[in-house]
Amino acid sequence: MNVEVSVSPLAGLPAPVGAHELAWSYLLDAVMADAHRRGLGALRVSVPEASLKADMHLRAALSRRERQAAEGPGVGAALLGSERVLPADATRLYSLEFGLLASGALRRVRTETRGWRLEEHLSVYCLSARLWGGPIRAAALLGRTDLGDRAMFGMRRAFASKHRHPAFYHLCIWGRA
Amino acid sequence: MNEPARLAQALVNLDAWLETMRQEGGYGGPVAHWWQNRYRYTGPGLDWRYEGVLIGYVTLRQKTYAPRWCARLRCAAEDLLAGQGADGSYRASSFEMNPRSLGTPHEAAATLGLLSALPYLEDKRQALEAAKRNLDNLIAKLWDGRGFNDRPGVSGRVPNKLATLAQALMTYAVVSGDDHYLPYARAALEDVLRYQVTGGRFDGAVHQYAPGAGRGDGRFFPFYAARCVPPLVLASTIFLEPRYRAAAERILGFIRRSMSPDGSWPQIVYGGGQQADWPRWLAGSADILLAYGTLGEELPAAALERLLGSQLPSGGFPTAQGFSSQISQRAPVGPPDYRDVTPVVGWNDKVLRLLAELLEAGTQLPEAKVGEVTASVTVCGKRAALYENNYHMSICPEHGDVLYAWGKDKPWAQTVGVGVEVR
Repeated sequence: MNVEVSVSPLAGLPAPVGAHELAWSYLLDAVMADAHRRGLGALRVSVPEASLKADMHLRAALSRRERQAAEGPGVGAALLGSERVLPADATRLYSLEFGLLASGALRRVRTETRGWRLEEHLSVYCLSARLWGGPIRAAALLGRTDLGDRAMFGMRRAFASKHRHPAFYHLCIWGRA
Repeated sequence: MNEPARLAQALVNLDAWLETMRQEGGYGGPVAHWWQNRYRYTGPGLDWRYEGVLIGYVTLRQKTYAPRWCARLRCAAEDLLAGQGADGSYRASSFEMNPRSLGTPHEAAATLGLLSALPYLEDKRQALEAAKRNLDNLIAKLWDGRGFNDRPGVSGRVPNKLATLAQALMTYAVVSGDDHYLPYARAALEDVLRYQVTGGRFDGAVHQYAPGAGRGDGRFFPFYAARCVPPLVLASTIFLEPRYRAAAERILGFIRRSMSPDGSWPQIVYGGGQQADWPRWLAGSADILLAYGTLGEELPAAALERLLGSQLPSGGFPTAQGFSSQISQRAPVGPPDYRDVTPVVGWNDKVLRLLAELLEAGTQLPEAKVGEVTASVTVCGKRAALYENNYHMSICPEHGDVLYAWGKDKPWAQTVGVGVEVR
């Protein structure tokens, strides 16, 4: 698979650290795993910042195989940054939308999806995970590291879902209708 | 079966399973860990799995002379050399946070394995140069002028990782005769000692983390404390200072006191007196047992029996007991969590290393006797079954769609369902 990665910054997007770093690990893995499974011949990815470009290139390198079945002609387009123009030859689309937990400006970022059929959805950094922040902070104030650790794992368990939940990120995977 | 024969059989069975976990670029597979899990990325991880794999196969080669062990360790070394970037880092070296490079202590652990294998490699100079590039990169990225951070630009000390790094730096000096890394090793070790508890109920324990390189966080992991023992023992011989060995012995005291009667250890002993009892390591307990052996102490029989008794029909060892209780910390009931049963290369390498260490020299090794695995598990509390054979791993619920499917030659799992992708 030939993978090209470009950067198209999104104003107001939090840096990929902490919970957002975890979120991007879900998002980039979902895109690369699907593209690899589909046997796409090419994948064009637009990410919102430079560190994510390196992360995507790493996944591309790890997915490359010397001995592999012939790749198909399919072309994937992963629109994860501000760039939302769809390549004309795209046969698979990965679009990143922003949900309730994101700013108004980010929520207005949209991709034209007429002619596409939604096949998979991933909600990442869900509200239910964010709500564990309260118990985590309370545990810290009480000096109860043990409770904070348990709450942190509760947060992790609620972090992502294949259903549409209130969340910061929504990754939609589309096939041609 | 008598004990030496049982151990030998366990070893060859584990080796057979490890071979099924190889794909292009190295040893792959999902990862279950206390910190995070990775079931979607299943490609090679050039991380601490190479410490135990390389040292284990070196030890087997030394004790049995069988040519296949040389072939194994050369193959593993080649994985690291082929997967090294221009800056010296290894690709996908972050174990439970893969794919990501600059993994700690993982890159140091892998380099330690590479250095240990040096005498058996065809191009020793190439391997030594690769090790040097890796260590130079770790110093460039993590050294802050006084000690080593865990991430570039973020001040903090993780003592068990510093111990592994020190061990790699000292081992480089031993195999190369070049001691220019030794001051860095000593700085790392001094931080290990700085974060060791002296006196009181937790005497010998080592703090897990010191944010800002300040006070320790009051989390004491028996597993991570045990990983400090071999580096400290090595340091006592390199620097001719008995205080390093004394520190290692005090760690073992903490490990002894925290062991449960069934031969398991809690995940964390907190400074406030609480414990995170679950999950309790199975395959990873091999490194705790290695600490006993490194200090010349008898291994606790209950712990060794618990480990050997857990081996799966495939030859792999399961990861833990009690992942389902990670949040509640109530004693687990019913079938194990899928993460408990999943055999992970980066835990099994420790078993390989331990069993190779325990094997008597000159032992005639038997043929491997392995088979498929079918295990009842739970995923988010719902019953399912985990299947594994030489080519495939899957998790299927009693009703509904397949939750997990991975072809062992693939860098990405084909199916990762709800509940399995918890990170």
